[in-house]
Amino acid sequence: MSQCRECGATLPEDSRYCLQCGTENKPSAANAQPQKELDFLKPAIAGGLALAILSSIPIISAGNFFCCLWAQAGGGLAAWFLNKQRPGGLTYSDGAFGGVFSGLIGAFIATLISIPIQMLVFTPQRVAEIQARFEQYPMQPEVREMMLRFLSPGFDLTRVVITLLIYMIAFGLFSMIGGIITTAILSRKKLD
Amino acid sequence: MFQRVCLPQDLEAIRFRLLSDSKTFSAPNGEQHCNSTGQTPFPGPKSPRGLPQAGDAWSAKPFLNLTLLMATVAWCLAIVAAPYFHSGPIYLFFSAICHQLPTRSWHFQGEQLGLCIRCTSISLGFLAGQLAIRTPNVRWLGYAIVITAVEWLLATTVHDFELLRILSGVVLGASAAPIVRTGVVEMVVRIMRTAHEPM
Repeated sequence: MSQCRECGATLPEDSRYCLQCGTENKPSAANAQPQKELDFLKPAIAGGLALAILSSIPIISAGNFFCCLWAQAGGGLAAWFLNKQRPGGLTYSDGAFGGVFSGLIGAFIATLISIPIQMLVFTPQRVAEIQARFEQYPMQPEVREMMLRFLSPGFDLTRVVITLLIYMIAFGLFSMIGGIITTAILSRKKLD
Repeated sequence: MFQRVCLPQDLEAIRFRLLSDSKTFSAPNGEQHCNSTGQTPFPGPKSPRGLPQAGDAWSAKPFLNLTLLMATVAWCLAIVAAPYFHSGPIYLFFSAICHQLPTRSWHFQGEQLGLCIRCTSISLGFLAGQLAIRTPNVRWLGYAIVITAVEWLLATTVHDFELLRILSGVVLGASAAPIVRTGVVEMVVRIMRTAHEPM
């Protein structure tokens, strides 16, 4: 498989034109060489750890409120490490896989880290403050009650399981996006 | 019509050669294939279980694009469904990715939407980008990231301009859409190929 030099889309080896942007695909010596197999595990663990730690530290974790910024950063970190293994030869799907794996690993680690942090941070006084602030949010009482249940002090297995599910979906999705975007930027830099 | 059987593993090479206006061509394994009509070759034989062969994966691209578009529509509808159906689970899921501050959110029927104005604008921009933009362009995405960063700095230091927040969100979502779509489709095609490879 080769890559379009203009938009970075994956092309079969003997294709003459790119279906995405129409650029003529001239085979190069680099494309003719067999590509090294990528190791996804280590980049995914690195990206997942970074994502989990940044998403768990109070105040810093607020970065996730901007389109899961730390999740995208974790996916981007995984893509960057993958690019180190195969400089300039990464496809968008490689970045996507690296991102998804790092998001899922990060979700597990972030859930584990959040258990003691929540028990420490969400003291009864803190919960009362948050409850008072939620009273000002224009939402139905049942919805408010459901949100507040997740902020209750102590350990709750149901909360941990639901947190894990939400993290897996959100982090997996946005890490994948971060991995794809980082791959596109790194490919573009190589083409330039 | 074809004079030789179109082998599934040659499908991609054949498809691109057809699009390159080639009338007579050789498959990578040396077989000669002729297509007098220039039409897309039939997918090829299916496996005994009735599953499509590996060569069908790339032909599923339009279907995958449509599926991604529908998923994006569902995401955008969920943002409005949260206040409309008073759905706690939707608010809870979106709370993981958005601050949901009432002062920074639009309201529907007296209740705030599931996401803030910026996140909603990014989502709508993503939907618009899937519909309107075919070719990924990383340079546009770079400009959109810079614009969003500048807007955020202005909002936190000088003044919060809601219109600027909306525009920067829409531009960011729209420029990211074709790149993300390409990556997701390639990833799914790769999974389909791996799943259908003979053991």
